[in-house]
Amino acid sequence: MSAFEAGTFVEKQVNEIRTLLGYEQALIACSGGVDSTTCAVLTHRAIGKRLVCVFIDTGFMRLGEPDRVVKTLGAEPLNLPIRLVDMRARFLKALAGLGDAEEKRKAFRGMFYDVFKEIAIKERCRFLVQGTIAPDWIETKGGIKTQHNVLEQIGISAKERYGFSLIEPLAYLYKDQVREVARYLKVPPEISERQPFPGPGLSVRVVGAVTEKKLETLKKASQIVEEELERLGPQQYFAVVLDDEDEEFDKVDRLVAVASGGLKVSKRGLKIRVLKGRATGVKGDVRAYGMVCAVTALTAEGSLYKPSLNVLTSTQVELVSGVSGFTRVVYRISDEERKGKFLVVARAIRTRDFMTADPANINWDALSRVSKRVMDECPDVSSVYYDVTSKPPATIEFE
Amino acid sequence: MYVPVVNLGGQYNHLICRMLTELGARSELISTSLTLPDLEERGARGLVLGGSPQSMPGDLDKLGNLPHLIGEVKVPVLGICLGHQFLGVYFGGVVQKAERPEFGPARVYVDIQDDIFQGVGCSFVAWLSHNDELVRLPAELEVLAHSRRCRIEAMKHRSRPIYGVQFHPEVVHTQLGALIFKNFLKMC
Repeated sequence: MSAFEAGTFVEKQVNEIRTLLGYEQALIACSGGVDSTTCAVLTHRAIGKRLVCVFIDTGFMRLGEPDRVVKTLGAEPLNLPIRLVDMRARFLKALAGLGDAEEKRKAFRGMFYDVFKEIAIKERCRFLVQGTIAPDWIETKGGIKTQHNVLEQIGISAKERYGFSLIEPLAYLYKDQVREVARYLKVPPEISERQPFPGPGLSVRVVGAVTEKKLETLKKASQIVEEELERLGPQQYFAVVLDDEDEEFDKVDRLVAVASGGLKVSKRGLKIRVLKGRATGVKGDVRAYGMVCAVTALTAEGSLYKPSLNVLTSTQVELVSGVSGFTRVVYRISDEERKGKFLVVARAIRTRDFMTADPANINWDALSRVSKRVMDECPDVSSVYYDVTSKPPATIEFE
Repeated sequence: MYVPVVNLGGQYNHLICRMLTELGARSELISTSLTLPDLEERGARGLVLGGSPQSMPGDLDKLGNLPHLIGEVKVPVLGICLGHQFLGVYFGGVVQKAERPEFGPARVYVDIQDDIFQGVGCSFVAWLSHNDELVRLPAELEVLAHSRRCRIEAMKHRSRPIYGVQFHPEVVHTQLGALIFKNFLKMC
């Protein structure tokens, strides 16, 4: 490993890809994100027309995303030979009935490679290029969460199981370094600066069991959160949807006591829920699939208490350290709370490399605007929360 | 200057290589099976032990040749997280499950402004991720820093260039992490 420089990196990778592929064709899985697009541009530079770019519509994409991505990748200045393959029904079926985060991720990965195996046979490609980056294999290998694009690093031979060899030019880079490469390759800013979107898409933001109704609510809520938070500049910002159901938990009193001390609010003004949905975390380099603590605090007058983010994050640290079993603390931001099937959480973080992160300091005006729009536009939602958990103990995504 | 990182399987081990590289050293992840002659042949001027999902002292036998290597090595050593706990246990200290584990941010107070904390000041915010912690050190090790929840956030050997930190100076959220690595590299 030597100090990173985008130009040197590109030159070295293009040469390596050329040497490796010779006159072979290669397939690449494009999502429209910065990693896979950068990979596609690199490989396109190396082998030109012998690259086959495929965008899979899994059904777990955001509103309008498939068309937008295919248009951007296929047009000037990238001109990638991109085609869209509609696999919505198959992915939905593969995930139906699953509630556990890792089971969902593994089912997604299985379907992802089955689909590429079919395409590779049809296109006579013996190589699949993927935009796997360092956190992907680090987290999969460490057992924190299964990324959809990691096989060889955990001992699964792609060649034996799927009939193609993998090429992963970005495997040792972090997101900020990939962005440097993207800018060097003149990838348009709408992609080079785009916030990350998970490989399994919205399936990991529908916390627990996937249903069409829940997915539909999430798509709407995602759009609102993205529209409202983008200009505030967090590195990642999104919505998740959980079932509005409580878990039985015998230490709620303890949570109330800790939260009351941290927030400096009387115990009477506090309402703490332990949700049924679970969230992935990482504690001491070990995967933690923990509980979600949902905190509401009211002022003496009965209106929503709106403390600074510092107060919220230090209360989160106290809660997770003081009562074991939690990987998330979320704080209510919607003024009202009503009967509804789902609960929406907005998450926004600050990070460089996505290995550690802290909640972005979003002002209360923006938080209130987000929650009001979600309540107005998503009729099945009971209340809206903001995730105040750092990574660790949480991961960035909920699953 | 070549300063490898012993890969103990933690989430940030590869980030340590990135940090050292950005500071002008040459680095890579190496296995726990490496011996002193291997290191000398490669010209290692220092050694960093990363974090790990393992637990001390129960997993001592899973650390390959590392205990042996620490007994012989002459170059400076920096242990991080589990690497720090391992060094403590190796010299006779005690690791236990933390009563109040630390995940994410915590303020670290420097007790001895030693070479490794040169220029850091009396306290800084560091990021941590640990279920266990060192609770007792033998006479040859001394405490360099603490936090509100953890008494031994950093330590050093009294006569050898061996250091341990419970927090993660390699992650971007730890203030002045690069300065701590710079201080370490100066010794190498």
